[in-house]
Amino acid sequence: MNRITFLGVLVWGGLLLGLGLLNGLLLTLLIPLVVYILAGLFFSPAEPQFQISRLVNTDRASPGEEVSIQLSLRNNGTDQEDLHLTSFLPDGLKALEGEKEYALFLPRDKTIEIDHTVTGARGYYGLPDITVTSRDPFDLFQRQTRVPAPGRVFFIPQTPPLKRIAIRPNRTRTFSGQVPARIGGPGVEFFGLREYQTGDSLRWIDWNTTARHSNILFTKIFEQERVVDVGLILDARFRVNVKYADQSLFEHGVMATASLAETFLRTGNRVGLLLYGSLLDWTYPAYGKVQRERIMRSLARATLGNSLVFGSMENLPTRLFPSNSQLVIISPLMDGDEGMLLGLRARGYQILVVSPNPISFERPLLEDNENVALAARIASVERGLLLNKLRQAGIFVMDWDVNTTFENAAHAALNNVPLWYQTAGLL
Amino acid sequence: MNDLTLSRYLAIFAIIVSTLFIAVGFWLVDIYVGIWFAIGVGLVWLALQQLPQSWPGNFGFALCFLLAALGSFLDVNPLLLALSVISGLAAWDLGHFTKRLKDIPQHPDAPGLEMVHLKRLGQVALVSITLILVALSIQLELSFLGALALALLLVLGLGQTLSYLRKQNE
Repeated sequence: MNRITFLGVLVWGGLLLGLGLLNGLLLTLLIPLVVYILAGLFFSPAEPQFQISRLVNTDRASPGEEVSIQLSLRNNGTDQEDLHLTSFLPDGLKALEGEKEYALFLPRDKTIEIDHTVTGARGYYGLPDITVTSRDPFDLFQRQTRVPAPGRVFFIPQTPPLKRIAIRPNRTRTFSGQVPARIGGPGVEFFGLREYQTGDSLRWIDWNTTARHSNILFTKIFEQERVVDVGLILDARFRVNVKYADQSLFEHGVMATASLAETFLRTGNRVGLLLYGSLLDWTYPAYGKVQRERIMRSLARATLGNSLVFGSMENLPTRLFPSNSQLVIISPLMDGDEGMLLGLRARGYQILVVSPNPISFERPLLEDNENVALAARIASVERGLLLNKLRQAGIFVMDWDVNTTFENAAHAALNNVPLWYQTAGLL
Repeated sequence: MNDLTLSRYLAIFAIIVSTLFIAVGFWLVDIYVGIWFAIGVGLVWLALQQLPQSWPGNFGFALCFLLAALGSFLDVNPLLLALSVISGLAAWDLGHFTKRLKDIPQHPDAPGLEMVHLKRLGQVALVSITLILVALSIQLELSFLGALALALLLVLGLGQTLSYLRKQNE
């Protein structure tokens, strides 16, 4: 019960009783209470008029990095003796310096500045409106105003750099890049031989082959290297990603996606990102640093979600990706997902699956007993069968034990692609 | 955190004074149960005062006011009852004030705010005592119409209070 209600109940109760029982003394005893309420009304401040601005030193930071926020509040109205400011920071942001609530005395035409230093986990944090409450000295009446003070901070996932990711989609773009294009021309890797044509560089003549044939010169041709379209698909389905206390397998997936996007964009490829969870969050494919920023911001906002429509991978919108392009799917995978992946493979997409292993993630967090061990073994067998099914269809699967860093795991798995994949033209 | 020692001690002092006035009032009319009851209320209020919530203050003041209201039916000295209610009101206000400022982070001018608050509370007490003395010295005979007007005023007032509370809840 707030204070004015409490006093109101006492006053009206006393009035009823005093008038009903014709007790004038009881009515007299109500005088201090009424005077107190009237004093509260008399001293209550006028309508507050504030001007608020908020300055954030950077709107993008790495998780754990410190961000400074400066709030400037100017009083354009009357003197405010008892002013309360609240709702400085959104949930998730941790204040290293500064408070979440302030009480101030702010005279007319004066400005006060409040500094905060915050940090947070990966995410997008829109800074909320400031709630300004001015009260009368007896805290009976209050005026509350929400003053908009726009500001935002992105905590972008950290991206350990990868040296190289070996991909070989069937379709490449026209610009030169670093992905072998299965087309002869200027390049580094040996591609084949053909008869010498006028204009060929003499340095490219294969003298060994030429020596075995009379009157025919042979020229070495190289495999062209071009940029490609890469579609990153991050699985943000709640039912697939294991969560345990404050740890989530999804965070590993986000970090891997950021790392892959960084690597593909750095080598000049055209990269798009699809977050597949409660809804489809699609970052249209593009090149360069601006696209990198778009993808990182999209990843910063990424959250797990449940959806009946996107509960299984069956509704993955394939039309978003150019045909025969490279798809990289970052997902722990679950039973039933293989159908869609095999379908994509059948349509000509080159698929690389980076699968954070949910068993190796969860196993150290659980008790060490026979039942857990047996469950882990069964789950491992099931997962092994699922991954084998994908591998047999020509999908390259990186089974990532999240207890090792993505950089190390990717270096071992993606840098040295098995020869049979390359010779079979699968990757 | 703002530790307002003066207000805290004044609140405790006001509780003791408030209950003492009622106890003395009951003693003067030889109602000894009332004395023990007043002392009991004072002790309970003092004990609950240490809790961080606001309800103990409300509870203590409500008990104090009810005791004074009871005294008004038992021919207890009106001035003592009025002084008890004023002291109780001061104790209730200061208890809330100290808790409110304790809950929030450092106020830049907490001692200054405290002095201004005490000054205003003193003004309220002074005006109340003056009005009570005036009320006790003047007695009016109300006609039936006068009583009816007061009753209507009461109904209107209740209606206004209810609508105000409804607005606050919205």
